[in-house]
Amino acid sequence: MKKNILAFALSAIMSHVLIAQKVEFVEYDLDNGLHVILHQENSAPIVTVGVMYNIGAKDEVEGRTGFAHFFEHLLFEGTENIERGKWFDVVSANGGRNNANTTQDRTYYYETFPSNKLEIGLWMESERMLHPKIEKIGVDTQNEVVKEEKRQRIDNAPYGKIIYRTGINNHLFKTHPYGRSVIGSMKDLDAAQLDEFIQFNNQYYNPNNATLVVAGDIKIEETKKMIQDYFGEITNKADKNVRKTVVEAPITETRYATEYDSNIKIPAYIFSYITPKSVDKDAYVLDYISSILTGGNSSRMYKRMVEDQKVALQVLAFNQANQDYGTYTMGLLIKGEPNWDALKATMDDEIKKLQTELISEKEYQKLQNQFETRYVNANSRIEGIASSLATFNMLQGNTARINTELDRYRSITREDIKNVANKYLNPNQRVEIKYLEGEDPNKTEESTK
Amino acid sequence: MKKYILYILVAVFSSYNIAAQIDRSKIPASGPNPEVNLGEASEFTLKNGLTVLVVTDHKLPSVNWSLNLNTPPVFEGDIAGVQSLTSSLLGKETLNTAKDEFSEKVEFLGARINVSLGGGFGFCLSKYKDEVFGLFAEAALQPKFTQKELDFERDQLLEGIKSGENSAAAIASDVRGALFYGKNHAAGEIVTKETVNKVTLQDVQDFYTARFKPSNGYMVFTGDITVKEVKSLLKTYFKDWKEGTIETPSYPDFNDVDATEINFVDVPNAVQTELAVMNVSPLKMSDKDYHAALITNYIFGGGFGSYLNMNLREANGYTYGARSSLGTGRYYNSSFRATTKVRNMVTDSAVVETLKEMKRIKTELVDDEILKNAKAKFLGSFILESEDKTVAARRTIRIKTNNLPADFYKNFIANINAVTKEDVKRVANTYFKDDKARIILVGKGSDVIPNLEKLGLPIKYFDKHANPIEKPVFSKEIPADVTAQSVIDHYFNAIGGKDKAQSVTSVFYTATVNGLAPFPLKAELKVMTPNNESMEMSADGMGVLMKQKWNGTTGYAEQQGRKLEMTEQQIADKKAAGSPLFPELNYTLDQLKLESIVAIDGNDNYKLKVTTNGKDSFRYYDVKTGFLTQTEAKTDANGKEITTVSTFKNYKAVGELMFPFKNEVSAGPQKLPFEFSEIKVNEGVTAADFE
Repeated sequence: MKKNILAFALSAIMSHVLIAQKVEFVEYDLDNGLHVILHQENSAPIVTVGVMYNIGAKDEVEGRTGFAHFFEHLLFEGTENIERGKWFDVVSANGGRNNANTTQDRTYYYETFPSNKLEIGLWMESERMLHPKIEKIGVDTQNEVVKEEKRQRIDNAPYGKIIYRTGINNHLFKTHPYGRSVIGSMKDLDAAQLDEFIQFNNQYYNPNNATLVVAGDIKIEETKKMIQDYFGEITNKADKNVRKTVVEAPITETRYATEYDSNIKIPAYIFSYITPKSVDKDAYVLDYISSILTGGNSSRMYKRMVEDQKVALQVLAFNQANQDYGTYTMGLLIKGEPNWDALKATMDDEIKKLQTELISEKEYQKLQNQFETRYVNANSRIEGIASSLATFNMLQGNTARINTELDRYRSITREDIKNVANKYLNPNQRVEIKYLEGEDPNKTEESTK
Repeated sequence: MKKYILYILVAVFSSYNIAAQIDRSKIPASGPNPEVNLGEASEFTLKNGLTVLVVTDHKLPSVNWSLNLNTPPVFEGDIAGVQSLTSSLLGKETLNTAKDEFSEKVEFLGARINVSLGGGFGFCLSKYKDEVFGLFAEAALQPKFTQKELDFERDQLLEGIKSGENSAAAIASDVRGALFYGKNHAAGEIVTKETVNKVTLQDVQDFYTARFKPSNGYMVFTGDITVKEVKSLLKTYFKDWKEGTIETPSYPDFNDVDATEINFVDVPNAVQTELAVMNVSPLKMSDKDYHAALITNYIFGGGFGSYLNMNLREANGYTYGARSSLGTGRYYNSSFRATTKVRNMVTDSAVVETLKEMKRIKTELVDDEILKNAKAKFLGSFILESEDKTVAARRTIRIKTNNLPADFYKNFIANINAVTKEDVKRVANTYFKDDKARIILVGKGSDVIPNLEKLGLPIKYFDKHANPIEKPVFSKEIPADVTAQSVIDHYFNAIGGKDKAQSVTSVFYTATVNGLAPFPLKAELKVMTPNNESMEMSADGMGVLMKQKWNGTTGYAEQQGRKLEMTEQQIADKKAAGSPLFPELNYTLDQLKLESIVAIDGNDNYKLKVTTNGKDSFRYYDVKTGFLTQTEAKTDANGKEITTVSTFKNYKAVGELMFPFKNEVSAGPQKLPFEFSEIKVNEGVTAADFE
C-alpha cells in the first residue's frame, strides 16, 4: 500500500521467484472455500499473515479501469470493528508493518508482526474479508491519493511508462486486458459510483476466491484453530471468480510506436515481445536469455553496446511472465545522437546469434552459477516466502512448485535457448518503441491528468 | 477411562467455547513478548587496524561481506565528481586482470562484488568464497586506473547528470543539500558537467591513494563462514594492506535561516512539487534526548499514522505520502526534514499544513494512546529486525562509531519506554523550528507561485544548481488586448448574449447526484432573481433528505429534521454575492482583476479575481471557448477555512442560452457531483420555493 502497490514493476525485474531451500508447508480448505497455507519457521519470532484475492486489473470491465488497484486502497479505510483511518495505527501500535499490492492477476494484502501478535493479524484480515466499510468519504479521499500516486510513479518519474509498462503493454495487447494499465484511467475512477465498489466487494472479496497464508514463528495446530475461529464464519456472497480465456492473436507484423516523457533527457529504444505464461517452461528459458543479453557487465549486449561501441548508456531487459501471457522487453538508453537503424541492427544481430548458434559451454555454466546464486539468496525472509507460497498456489495452480523452481532452470538446455529465441524473438513478433523526451504532440485529455 | 472421557469433553467444550467467544469488536490480546535471540558477532582487529566482525549462520550456503572504511566526508571543490568517478573505476580492472576478464570471472561464479572509495561489499555461494574474496581484495587493493576507462566513466556520469536535468526529484535532491549545507560544504556541493570535466587521471589516483585506508574501518562477514575461515581469507588476501587513517577536515558552519522562507526552483514540466521543510539538527546518537527525539519524529512524520501523513494524505488527499526525518551527525550537524510530493495546485496548502503540524506537536501534549503506540512500534521493529542476522554486527559498529555506551542496545527499549509526553513536546521545541524553517520547493512555477505568494512568506528563487536568480516570469503573458471586461464579454457571447442572460428570472435544475450515498440522489435546485436560492435532495422512497433555502433576507439548512438558521455573517456574504444567476451581470469593474492565464486540465483559462464584501474569490474562463469553467472561494466551516471549488463542464443549449450540464462542487476531500438531467428557464419556480 505504501511503497509497493504496483508490484508489477518489481516482478518485471525478476519474474520467477526462487526459494533458497525446501519450504515445508501444509495446506487445506475451510468449508467456505478459503484456501489456507501454513509455513512454520521458528528461527526468528516473527510472523506474516497474508491474503491473496483472485482479482486483478485484468478482471476490470471497459470504462472502469484502475478499479482493482483503487479497491486495494479502499480496503484500508476500515471495517465494522476497525475505525476509519485506524488500520495503520493498529498495525504499528502492535509493532508490525503492512502493505498491499495489485497486479494484473491478483491483489495481495499482508501484515508482519512479532509472533505474539499472530491473532491480531488474523483478526485484521478476517475483518477485511468479512465486513469492510466502503463509504463515500473513503472513495473521495483515496481518489485523490491514487491520482497523486499516478503522478508520482508514472507522470513525474523518468521512464515511468517503461517501468510501469503503461507505454509498452498498450502496444502489445489489443484484445487481452493486459494491454491496459494497472493504475488505470483517472477518468474511469472519477466516474465510479459507490454502489459499484460495494458490488465489487461482494463479487470478488469472498473466502472462496482467496488464499490465506500464515508463515513464520507459529504452531500449526493452534494456528489452524484460530483460522477456523476468525475465517470459518465468513460466508460467500458470490461464486468464485472464474475467468473466460481471452486469446491475444500473435503479433505477425512489426508494430512501431513512439512514446513521450517530459521527465527525461536521454531517449530509449525498446523492443517488446509477447511471450508464454508463467507456468510455461519457455518463460523460464527467457529468464536465461535475458541474463545472457543484459545481465551484468560481462553480458553480450552490455559489452558490445555500452563498452565497445559506446552507443548505449545502459542496456536493459525484463522478462515478465504473468498468469495468461508474458512479455519480454529489451532495450537501451541511447548515448549521443540516436542512430536508430544502427541500434536496431546491433540488437537484431545479438538475437540472430542466439537463434543460430548455441551458447558456449562456458556461458551455459555461468548461467547455472548465476541462477543457483539467485536461488540461495532469493527468499531468506518470511515475508517473501509468504507471498511466494500464495503466488504459486493462486497463479501457478500448485503450491509445491515453490520447491522445484531451480530444477526447472537446471533442466533448460542450450538447445532450448536457441529454440525459444527462434520461437518468440523474431522482428515481426514485436513492437519497436522510440521513447523520446517531451510532450506527446497528440496527447488526449486523459493523458494530461 | 472416565477421566479420559471427561478430558475429551472439556477439550471439545472449551474449544467450542473459545470459538463462540471471539469478540470481534476488540483487538485480540497479545501473547507475552517473544524473546529475541540475536547472537553475538565475533570480533577481532587486524594489524592494520581494520576491525572485523563475523556472524556465522549456516542456514543458507552463501556468504556476504561488507567493508566500511569509515572515512570522513570530503569537499571535492572544483573537481566535484572525483569520488564518484574513482568509485566507478574501482572494481572493474586491476593491475593483474584486464577489465573484460575481471567482470567475466566474477559473473561466471554468479557472484557480485562492488568496491568504492568508502569500502565495498561482496556476495557469493560459499563454495566459491575463496575465489570471489580473492577477486574482491584484488579489486580493492590493486586497482588500475587508465585514461581510457576514466573517459568512459566520465561520459557515463555526464549522461547521468543530463538524464536528471528534467527530473524534479533529481533537482530537489541537489538543491536541498546545496541550499541547506551550502555549496562550499562536503554535503552541499553539486556535481556538474563543468566539475566532472576537470577531473584528471592523477586526481583519481591521488584520491584513491589518500583515502583507501583501513585503520578506522570495519568489515562484516555474515553467513556460511566461520571465524577461522575469515581469518584465513584475510591473512591470504589482505596481508599487504598497510595501516593508515585520514584526518578529519574542518567543515564550514551552516545555520537555520533567521525567519522562515521559501526557496523555489522552477521545473516547468513538473506535475508535482517536491516539498521539503528543513531545520538544522544538532542531534547525536549519544545525546540524552536521542530516544525522545526518535519517538517525537516518529509521531510527527515517521509512520503512516503520523501527524504529517494523516493531514496531508488522509485528511486532504494532497499526496501519496508525507514523511519526516530527524538526522544525527557524526562530523557535522544533520537535518530535520519534512518531505512530500504534492500536486501543483495544492503546494501552498501543503506548506501551510506542514508548518501547522510542526506547531501542533510543539504546543499540544501528544495523546497518551499515540505515545503508547509509538513505543510499541519501536519494540516491534526491534523484534522484526532480528530476522536479519547482520543486525548484531551493525549494532556493534554503531556503538563504536557513535561513542555509545556498550549497553546502548541492551537498554534501548527501556529508554524508549521512559519517554514521556512532556519529553516529546520539549524535544519538538528543540528540533522543530517552524519559525526558522527553510522551505525548499521544486515545481512548476506558473501553477504554484501565484498561490504561494499569498502566504506572505519571503520567496527566494534559485536555478537548478542552487544559484540565486531573479523571480522568473511564470504565467503565460496575458495578451495586451485582453482585459477583465473583455473576458466577461467573451463569456456572455459564448453563452448566447448578455441580453438573453438578462431576460432570465429563474432557473430550475433537476440533477442526479451519484456517489454521495449508496443509492442515487435526486436534487432540485432553483434560483430566482434578485437573489433567491433553494436546493432539495431526495431519494426514491425516502422523501426529502436535505434542504437549503435562501430568500434574499434569511435562510436555513435542514437535514433529517434538524434545522440550522444562517448566521449573520453568512447572510451578509450571501447578500453581497448578489444574484446567483449570472453574477457577471452585476459585477462592476473595480471588483474585478484579471490575474493570469493558468492551465486547467490542459486548457488555458483566464483567472479573474472578484472582490465582494472584502472577500476574494476566483473565477476561471476558458481562453478559447469563453465559458466559465471553475470557481474558487474560501468559506468558513466550523471555524476552519476551507476552499470550495466548483467546476462546470458539458455546456449545452437550453433555449437560446448555453448551460453547463455537469457541476462538481468539492470542499477538501468531499465532493458533490451534479449531473443535470433537465434545466428549465423562467418556468416552474415561485417565490414560495425559497421559504
